[in-house]
Amino acid sequence: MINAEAFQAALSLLGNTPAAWLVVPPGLLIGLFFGSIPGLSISIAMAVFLPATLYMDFLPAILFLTAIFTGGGFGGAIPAIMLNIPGTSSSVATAFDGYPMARRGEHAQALGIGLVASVLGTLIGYLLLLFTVQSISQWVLRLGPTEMLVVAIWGVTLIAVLNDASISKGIAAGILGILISTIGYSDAGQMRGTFGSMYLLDGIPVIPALIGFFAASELFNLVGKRYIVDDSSLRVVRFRNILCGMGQAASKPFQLLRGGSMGAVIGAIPGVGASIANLAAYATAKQRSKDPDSFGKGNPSGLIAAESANSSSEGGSMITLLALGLPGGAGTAVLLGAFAMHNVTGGPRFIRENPDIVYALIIGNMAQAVLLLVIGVGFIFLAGYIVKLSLQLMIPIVMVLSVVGSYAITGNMVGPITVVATGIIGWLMRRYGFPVAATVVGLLVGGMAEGELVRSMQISGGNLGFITDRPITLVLLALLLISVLPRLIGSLLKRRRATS
Amino acid sequence: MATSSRRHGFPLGSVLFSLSLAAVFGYYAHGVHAAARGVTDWLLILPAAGIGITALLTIVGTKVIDWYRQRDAVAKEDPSTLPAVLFMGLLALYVALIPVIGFDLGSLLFLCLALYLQGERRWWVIVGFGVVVSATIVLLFIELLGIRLPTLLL
Repeated sequence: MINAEAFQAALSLLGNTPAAWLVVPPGLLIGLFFGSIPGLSISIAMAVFLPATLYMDFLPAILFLTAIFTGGGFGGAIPAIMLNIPGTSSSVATAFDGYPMARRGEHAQALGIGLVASVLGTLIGYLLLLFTVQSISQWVLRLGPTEMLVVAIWGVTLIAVLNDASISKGIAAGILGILISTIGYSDAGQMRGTFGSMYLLDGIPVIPALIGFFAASELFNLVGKRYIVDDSSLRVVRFRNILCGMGQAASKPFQLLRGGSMGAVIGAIPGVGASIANLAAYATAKQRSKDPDSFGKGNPSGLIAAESANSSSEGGSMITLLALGLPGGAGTAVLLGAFAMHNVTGGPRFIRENPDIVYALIIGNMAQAVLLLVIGVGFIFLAGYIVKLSLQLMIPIVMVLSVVGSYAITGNMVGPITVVATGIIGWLMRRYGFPVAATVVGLLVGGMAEGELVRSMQISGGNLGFITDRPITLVLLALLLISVLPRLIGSLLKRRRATS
Repeated sequence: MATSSRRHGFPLGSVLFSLSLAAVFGYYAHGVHAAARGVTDWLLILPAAGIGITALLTIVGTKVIDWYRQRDAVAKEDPSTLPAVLFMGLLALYVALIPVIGFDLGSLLFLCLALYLQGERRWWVIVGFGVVVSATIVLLFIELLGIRLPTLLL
């Protein structure tokens, strides 16, 4: 479980490295700032500040970057709650209930709930990492292409089926995302859907597409409104309400633990990460709830599940980074770059030879989570004033930020054009009742699904019976069916009742 | 939002949108299949497009049936889409002009016009807001984040 000797060495290492603590508060603030601005992302923040770690020792460098990661994880929840614009792809499900709460004037509570769920989620993720870092590294290696394929399908199916729109609309929206993700050069070298444009050879850029589907399409809908919260008496940010929300989240330890555990486990799967963890935990919370219809309308439990899961997935993704040297997503890819800058290679050998550093990283990140609680309260107190801003001013500002931010990501006009195109498609989808979130999830996991499908076919030779020899695949398939069937049956019965 | 007692109209927009998506799915899948050199090139796309088209046709069928059943029921008035459509047009124009007039002038014009479109008529508020916000954002990205943005004035 835990190597006590290495654990003690880690504590003394952290105690003797004051620089490791000095870099954490600025890292958290940078993460909070970047995460809270739609168009900027955690990976942009980490990439921009990566060169700053060149002259730091390995431990402070990684703790600085993980502080940005941790701060950004919660920072993304702020625009998701206040504007229905997930600051990061891992905050998609946060908006489902956070934004309706803000529309009701409960933005301060929602932010308080999000902060505590994030802090405790991060702690849960790193606690699990602390106890399991050695054994999980061996288990993750057993996940082959068929298992990964089922995980990807699960991610899309869950969000496509478990939404307020009809199942057909959810499926069509999910497929749209998957098909968009296949545009550009395939792994096999085929050019698809590029219309001869060299700018599309790398495919549709995901982050600008995400900004368009979520941010632009929502902003188009808000044109003409004066404030996010119509009632002026509700446009007040009270410290007491933030604390009330924090207490509300802390009073639901089981929900926090469930979301946190799911996030950590899903986050450990390479390529899946916080985006799916956020959605899967939300879907599970909705399914287990006694009042599933209130989800999507401002149920705090949905917010707790989503935020605890996306934050704990950071700990999970660190498992694959430390144990296998594999980045689970963009953030951990930058961390891997920092490893390389300091001539460190992640993997089983790294864990075996440097257990004190591994434990120091884990303990340092747990301390960061506690610090986030303090810094985050002050930050959301300021960020909470977003609802006081006039939409007349805010819509153009956010739009320009999104366009400039998307240009910064792609380095050419493909980013801004993607924002406009996906914004218009997203607006049409919203208008006709298609769940935009399903498209985004399809977009995020489509590439992985195709790669794993091709690999599964190559390994099995096209024989479907192959999966009967893969017990983990069968278990995952069973879990997929169990999670989807009740909604399918319920929907069919509802339709039949409505027509009779 | 104001409502009027009018009959349920045919859901033309919804049906057209679903059919357009189905056509795009079909066109894309056909293009990929026609250019494919082996099964792996279309392994995901063809079945996915097939499922998507089926789902979209189901939506169209359901919409038409629902409309037929409820055609005499009272329908709610849809909110006007004109402001949203105008804003989309303005955004598209902004992005189209960036390569010519740069992010600084482009953002300034977009911000001023967006404010005007939303009902602001005080010229000094429009110009002041446009200048301050566009300069701040463009300089933030160029100076602080070190990102090369095409500009005309800054």
